[in-house]
Amino acid sequence: METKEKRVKEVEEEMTSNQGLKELKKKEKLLSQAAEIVGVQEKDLPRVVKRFLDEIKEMDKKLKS
Amino acid sequence: MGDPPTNKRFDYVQSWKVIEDFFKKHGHTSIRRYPVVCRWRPDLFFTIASIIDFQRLGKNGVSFQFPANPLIVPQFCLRFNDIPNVGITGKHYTCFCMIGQHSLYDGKQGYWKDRCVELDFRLLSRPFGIKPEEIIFVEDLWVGPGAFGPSLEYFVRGLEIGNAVFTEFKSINSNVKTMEEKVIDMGAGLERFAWITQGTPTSYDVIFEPILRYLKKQTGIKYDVEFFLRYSRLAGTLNMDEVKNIKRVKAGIANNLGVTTELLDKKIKILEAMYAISDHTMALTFAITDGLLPSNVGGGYNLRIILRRALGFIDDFRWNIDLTDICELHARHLRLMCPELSEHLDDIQKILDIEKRRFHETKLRTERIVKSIVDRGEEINEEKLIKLYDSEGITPGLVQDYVPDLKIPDDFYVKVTERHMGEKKILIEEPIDVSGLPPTEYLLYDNPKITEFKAKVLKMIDDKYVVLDKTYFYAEGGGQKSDVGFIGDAPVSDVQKVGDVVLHRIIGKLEEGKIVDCKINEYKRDILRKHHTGAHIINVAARQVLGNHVWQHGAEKSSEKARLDITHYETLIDEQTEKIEEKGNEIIRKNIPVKIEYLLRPEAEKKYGFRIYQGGVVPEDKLRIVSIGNIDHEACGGIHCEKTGDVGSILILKTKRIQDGIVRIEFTVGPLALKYLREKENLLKETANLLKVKEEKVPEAVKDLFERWKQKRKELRKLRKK
Repeated sequence: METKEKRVKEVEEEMTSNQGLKELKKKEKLLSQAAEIVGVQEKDLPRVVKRFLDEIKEMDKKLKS
Repeated sequence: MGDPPTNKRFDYVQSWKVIEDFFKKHGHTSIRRYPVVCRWRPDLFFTIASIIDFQRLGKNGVSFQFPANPLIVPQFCLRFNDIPNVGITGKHYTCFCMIGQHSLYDGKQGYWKDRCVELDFRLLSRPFGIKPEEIIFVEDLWVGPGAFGPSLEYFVRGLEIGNAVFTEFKSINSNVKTMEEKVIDMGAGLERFAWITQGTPTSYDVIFEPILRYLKKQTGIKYDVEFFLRYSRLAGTLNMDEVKNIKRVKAGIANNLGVTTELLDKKIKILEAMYAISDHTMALTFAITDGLLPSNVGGGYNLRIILRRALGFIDDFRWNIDLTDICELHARHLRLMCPELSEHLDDIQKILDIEKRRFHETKLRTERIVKSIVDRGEEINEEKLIKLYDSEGITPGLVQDYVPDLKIPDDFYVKVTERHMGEKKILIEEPIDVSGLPPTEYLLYDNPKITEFKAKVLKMIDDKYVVLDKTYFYAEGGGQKSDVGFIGDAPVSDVQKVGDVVLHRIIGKLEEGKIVDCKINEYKRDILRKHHTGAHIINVAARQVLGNHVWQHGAEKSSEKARLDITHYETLIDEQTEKIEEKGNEIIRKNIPVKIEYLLRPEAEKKYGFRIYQGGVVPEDKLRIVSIGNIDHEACGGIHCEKTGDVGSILILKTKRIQDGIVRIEFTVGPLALKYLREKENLLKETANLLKVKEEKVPEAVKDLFERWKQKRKELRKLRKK
């Protein structure tokens, strides 16, 4: 009985996470859209964004000087 | 022709009813047809004869499995080796109904030769009313792979009506043995039975009567009835299998009829086109109903050939007819024999519409491609024509529109079909030598929960494979990767079955004869289990969302991710992918029990139909059937969850059209799906933090940033140039 209850609980937990699935999928879509704009893989997006930010700063400096 | 050998008149469907009633009255069970797509045989794409229904290829060769004895079946068959003859000779088809009369005789059950001849003679002479003196039986010998016996062909006025093969002897290494169970394989063409009572110019006029009536009305064609009748008497000689020079035979016929070959062509081509369209649409109706799609691979290739041939005729004569309407007429005409055809008309319409669009796209491409060949001064010979058809789908008829004096070989479609014909290729890998080793006790199915056990090392092979006396490790099969884990201190990276012996690939060495502790990686086993049940769930979901034409084409389940290849005619759009995923997760939420049962093959086929062969043919007499409630039943040797809820969730990662008619769905499940999404969430969060915006604004902010970056670079370049 205890095992059965445990199992039911586990399934219920999985179901709950299923509710969050849609929310997570939305985020995945946002990431994929953003990565597509700059033509990089999703895993590389933060690194590329950081590079752009740094390079803009650098270029601003050069343009001002 | 015009003077049938009987006073009885039966149409196509009536002829079957007469035959069925006769055999039922004489102790036969009438069974429903088997699919025309032959999924229970690894060596055939299509059911080419009624006996194929009952033949199974197992480890010990061919065996027969009759659901009743004796029996009768109206088996629709597809054959694509006669395409150029279809529509021309009056008696060749790509789709035909073979009346299968079968008996398994062991001295007690069934019957043998004398009774067979008696029944067939009585059928022709009584219900069909053919005078006994008009029925001729000709004895011959039939020799097949590993078996042989006498055969009897029977003719009425020179037309072969049926052929009974009496498989009586087995031949093994030149030793001949009488079979304990002898088999009667009597196959007769329903087309010819109906034709002989009607005496119409061609058999097509009987089989396709309502279709031809519709086509004549729709196209408004007029033809010289008297001339055609005279021509039909001679057209049977135009068999391209038998005639070397078809043009010479045609010229002979024209001469006989007192016209030029050109005039003959003009007068009859229109009717030949109608006959061919009628035949090809019947083949397509059956094949699509039974789940096969036109494509450029496997059996689908044959379907596309006849579909394009039919569309080519419609274009040539500028007819305003729709193939789907004709398929619907076939379904209506045959509803008493095959009511299931009417249930798949929506699928047929969708598939034919797409194929028609593709055909017309090909036509648009043709001008450019053919012109470029001509401009390069290349000759368009037979080889080039075949290449154009194979790689671009361009039919010779389309090429001829731009190269009017092009010579099209009469047997063009035979040649292209031969390249893709009939038999599937079975790849046999060079096995590792396990001779002399006893079968490994494969205990996984007895208790799939055991992940730790002790076993004895029987042998080390090539310093990398270990053979145990027993194992609970899952050996790779059915698209599921093997378990991994440890045997003693040696990591197990792969497990394979060679015959009945299980080979565990290890890194290290184990002492033969020693008892060792074995441990399966439970986490990876769990993911494999979830992926496998997940694949079955996605298959059901895809069928529910996309239609009944969806079959599993291939699958792979590892402990990282999984993929399922399904048959579908176009790339999936996001909405369809989302729907499949939603349906799949709905099945998971319902927490449906996953049941495993072992059934003898005939019992399994009878209970669940041929959908059980999703993962291909299983060469066992007893099948392991994995059922998800009552929504899915598959013959499968994989490890599965106990309930669909155990899968947790399904996440489709990617879909891709990997070849014509096949779509790949990559997915993952439960904890891996969550892990994957959490990683994406973290990447999005990190990007949002860098950009100092909310997560939902990230794409917009990235776009702005990218524009700014490009702008700055431009400005800097300008500055440098100054």
